[in-house]
Formats: sequence, structure tokens, C-alpha cells
Amino acid sequence: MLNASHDERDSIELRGALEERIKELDCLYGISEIVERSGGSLDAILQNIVELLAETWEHPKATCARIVLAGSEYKTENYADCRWKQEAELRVHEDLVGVVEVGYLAEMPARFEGPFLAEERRLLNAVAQRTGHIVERLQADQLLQQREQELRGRLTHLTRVSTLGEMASSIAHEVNQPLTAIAAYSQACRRMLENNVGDRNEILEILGRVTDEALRAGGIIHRLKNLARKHDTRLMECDVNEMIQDLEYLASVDTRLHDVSLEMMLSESLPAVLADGIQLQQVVLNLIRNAVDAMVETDVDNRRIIVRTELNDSSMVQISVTDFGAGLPADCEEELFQPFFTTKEEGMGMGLSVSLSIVKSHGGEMWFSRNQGGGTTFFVTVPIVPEEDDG
Amino acid sequence: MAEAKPVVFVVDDDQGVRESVKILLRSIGVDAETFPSGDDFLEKSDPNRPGCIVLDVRMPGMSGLELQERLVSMGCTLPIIFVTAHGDVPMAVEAVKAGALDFVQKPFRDQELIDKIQEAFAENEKTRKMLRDRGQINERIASLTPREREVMDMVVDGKANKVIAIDLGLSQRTVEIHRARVMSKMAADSVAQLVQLVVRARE
Repeated sequence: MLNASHDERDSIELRGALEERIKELDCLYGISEIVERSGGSLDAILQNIVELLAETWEHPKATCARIVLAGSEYKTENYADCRWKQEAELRVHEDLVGVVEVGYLAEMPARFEGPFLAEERRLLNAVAQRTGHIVERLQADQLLQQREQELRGRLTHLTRVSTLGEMASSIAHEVNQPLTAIAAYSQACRRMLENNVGDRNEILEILGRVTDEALRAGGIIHRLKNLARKHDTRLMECDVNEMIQDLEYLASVDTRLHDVSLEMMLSESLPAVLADGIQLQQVVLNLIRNAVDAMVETDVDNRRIIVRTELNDSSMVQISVTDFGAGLPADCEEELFQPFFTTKEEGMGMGLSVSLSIVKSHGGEMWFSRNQGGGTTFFVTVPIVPEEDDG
Repeated sequence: MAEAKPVVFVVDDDQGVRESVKILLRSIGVDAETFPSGDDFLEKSDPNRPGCIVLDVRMPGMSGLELQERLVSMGCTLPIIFVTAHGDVPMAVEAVKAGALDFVQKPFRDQELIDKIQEAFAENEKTRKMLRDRGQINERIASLTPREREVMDMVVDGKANKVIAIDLGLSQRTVEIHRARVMSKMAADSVAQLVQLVVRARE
């Protein structure tokens, strides 16, 4: 009789231990699922782990849980600082960065560690360790993404500077004009003063022109610097037409010297787009530069570039750049947007590939079509700023 | 009759450059006229006026070199001073080979441009004088009879009267008469001077 009840007690204990073991495995499996479902958000992962923990303990209704990680706190709704609690250290790369905590809101019968089971201690340690690994992995992913973004940013900048480099000769010529005028005007003033010819008003008028020419040179350099500078990608509301008009001056310096007429056909009252203005200018400038190069062999009278803006559908603004050049070689669709693909002798072959990645990062698209009468049109779309809900 | 005052024709697509060069030249008492393009210059200017051209090498539309070519084919005698940017020197060398007087680099020292313009004016005056002289000589040649013309060509070739007489089937006396008329119509005092006049007319 005594033996029988002993056996029974053994079997109850065994069953209890098994149940605890199953709960423990369920909990660890649950954590894996949480990580998979979370889409990489550390906040969501830690919040879900806390909730899962509380459900797993022997008296779930009276259980609260909390994770503290580097100053941030994730806790169950019922969390309170209670008398009956157990903790496990949270370590990332062996550094102590926080703590995982489970507590009972009311007194429970005594077990292995206060009111907690031995399995619960083991589980808590295991969860703390898993959580540490998850944080490590997410941080590594984040670092990798950050590095990738940095490299992408540098490549974007490098390509932009290289495009400006291709225009260096045209730009230098353009800056040289006001300098020449300044030199001639000032030397004229000097001679007039030395030889006592010309009256005061005349000299003052010439000095005014010197100032205008200096400001003109400054304007070119300012625009150039603005486009050449390094900056962090920043999506802001911007007006596509304004951005293109701002670019027109610098672009026309180049087109003019190549006997290309640059025509703007900008649709009025386009909605604002969400974009990094400089990067978008880079895309358009690159397309204009390509169009100029495509028309080197074209008859001077036919060297035209048309830049057009319009509303593509209700959510996209479309920019297109049309040339009347030789047209793209057949079967280049595949390679055209690949890095290092170029038809130019001095090209890096990064222009279109970087342009495409800029446009994609804006949530837009980029493609081209062959014109019927020869030449090529490139299209870029950029999403407009979503209208705010008044409700 | 005194020649008209020489003019500098400034052809440059940049308004600032055009105007400033004009004012600079005015400050030293030189007249300048400005043109924004080669086409504009061809349309509005008289290439027979005395002076010189200050011409931008690099312009949209008709380039400086193209305008130079057009002017040469028209027989324009205005000397050309090319204005170039730093990178365009090879183009300028090409232009000088094609007959341009010289070139200056933008931006330039006033004295450099002024010296070259003075040189161009002198050069143009010389050419114009030569052309005037040649015109005069040609008029004299035109006043000769065909026979006198034949005799003159043979005299210039260094042939003696006797030889000329045999070649043309004339008496030596007749050749002498023709020869005296040639010298008088051509206003030449000696055979050497006659030779010089004929050579200049053929230049």
C-alpha cells in the first residue's frame, strides 16, 4: 500500500517534470517563431519574448516578466516590482547589457528557488542566452546594412562627381567667361583713370558690371559645389520642375558647347514628390549627359534633348529625357543598367546602374524606349507625397 | 585719300566678354563692334573695312575656325586674333596654321591684346596698300595692247630685243617702239622696276 502510493507519487512527479520539460521546449520553439515573424525588429522580438515567458511559468495568471536592455525596457502589461522574482543576466558578446526577469505577483507555494521550479531557472537562463544571441545577430545585420548603405552612398556620390568630371571642360569654359570679362573691365577702368578719359558715372557703371560678372562666376561654382557635395540621403517633399530648372543652367553649359539644344517641357502644377533632390538631379543630369554623347555624330540641326515632366498616374510623377541620336545598340536591354556597362570611351559605366538604384530606393521605376524616328527616351517615375488623411 | 579708321570686330557668344573687350578698347581709343555669332558677323559687317577680328574659338553654332574658313574663301583680308580658353590651345595652333595672325588665352592681360591688335592693324594696312598697288598695276597692264603685252612678257623673261623681234616676226625697230610704250604705260623707269611690278601683279 505504502509502495503503491510511493509509485503513484513518482509517476505524478514524472508527469509534472515532463510537462515542465514540454513547456520549456515550447517556449524555446516559440522564441524561434517570434524571431522569424518579427521582420528583424528588435523591439517586437523582445516584447513578444516577455509575453511568451509570462505564459510559460507554473502560475501564468500571476506571472509578470520584463527584459531590460541597454536602457530600454520591455514588460508585460501587469508588470510590477514584486517580492517573488528571479533574474538572469543578459549578455551580448559576453558584456553584461541587461537582465531578463520573471516574478509572481502573489505568494505561491515554495519550490526549488523560492516559489520557482528548477526547470524554470534553467529555462530563464536558456531564454536569456538565446535573447543575447538574437541581439548579437540583429546588431551584426544592422551593421552590415549600415555598411552597405554607406558604400552605396559613396558610390552614388562618386558617380555624381564623375559625371561632373566629364563636364569639367565645359564648366571651366563657363567660369572663364566672367573671369575674362572681369579682367577686361577692370583693366579698362584702370586705363580710363590713368589717362583721365571717361567720367565718374561711366567708371561706376563698369565697376557694377565687374560685380555682376563676379557673382555670375560664383553662381556657377555654387551650383557645381552643391551638386558635388557629399550628403546623407534625405527624402523630402520637392517640386520636380523646380529641381529640373535648378539643374538646367549647369546642364545647358554642357549642351550649348556641344551644339545641343536643351528643351524643357514641364507640366504645370505637378504634385510634390518625396525625394532626395540632389540624387534626383543626378539621375536627370546623367540622362542628359548620355543624350549629349549619343548625338555626337548627329547632324547639328537635329541635336535636341527634350526633358519632359508629367503626371504618370495618380501616384507617380514621370520625368523623361529624349534624344535624337544614333539610338542604342540592339540587344543591350539586359546589360544597359548593369554596372560597368558603357558605350563611351571615357565612361565609368556606372551612371545608369547607379541611377536605377537611386530611382528604386525612391520607390520609383526606370526604363527606356526606342523612338520611332531614331534616338532614345529614358523614363523615370517618382512617387508623389501621399495626401494626408483629414479623418 | 586717307583710309577710314580701323575697327576691331569682336565675335564672341558671351555677352560679358564682348562688352568688356569693347569697353577696354574704347578706353584706349580703339573702335570696336561686337557680334554674338559668326552668322551675325557675316550678315551685318563689311569685311572690306580696315581693321581686324578678335574671334572666340569655341562658340555654339558656327565655330571660330569655321568662320575663319568662310572668311578666307571670301577673300577677306582682315587679320584674325583668336581668343581661346586654356584647353583650346591645340585648336588655336590649328587656326594660326590656317592663317590666323595670333591668339590670346582667356583671361588676358590688356597689353597683350592691345599689342596684338596694333600688330594686326599694321598688317592689315600693309595688305590693303599692297592690294591697292596691285589694283593700280593691273589697271596699267590692262591699258596695254595685246602686242605690247606680248613684248612686255618677253622683256620680263629677260629676252633681248633682237630675240623678241625674231620670235614675233617683227623688225627690231618696231619692237623698240612697243617696248618704249610699255615702259611709259607701266610708269617703269627700268627693266628691273618693270619686273618688280609684274611680279607684284602676279602675287
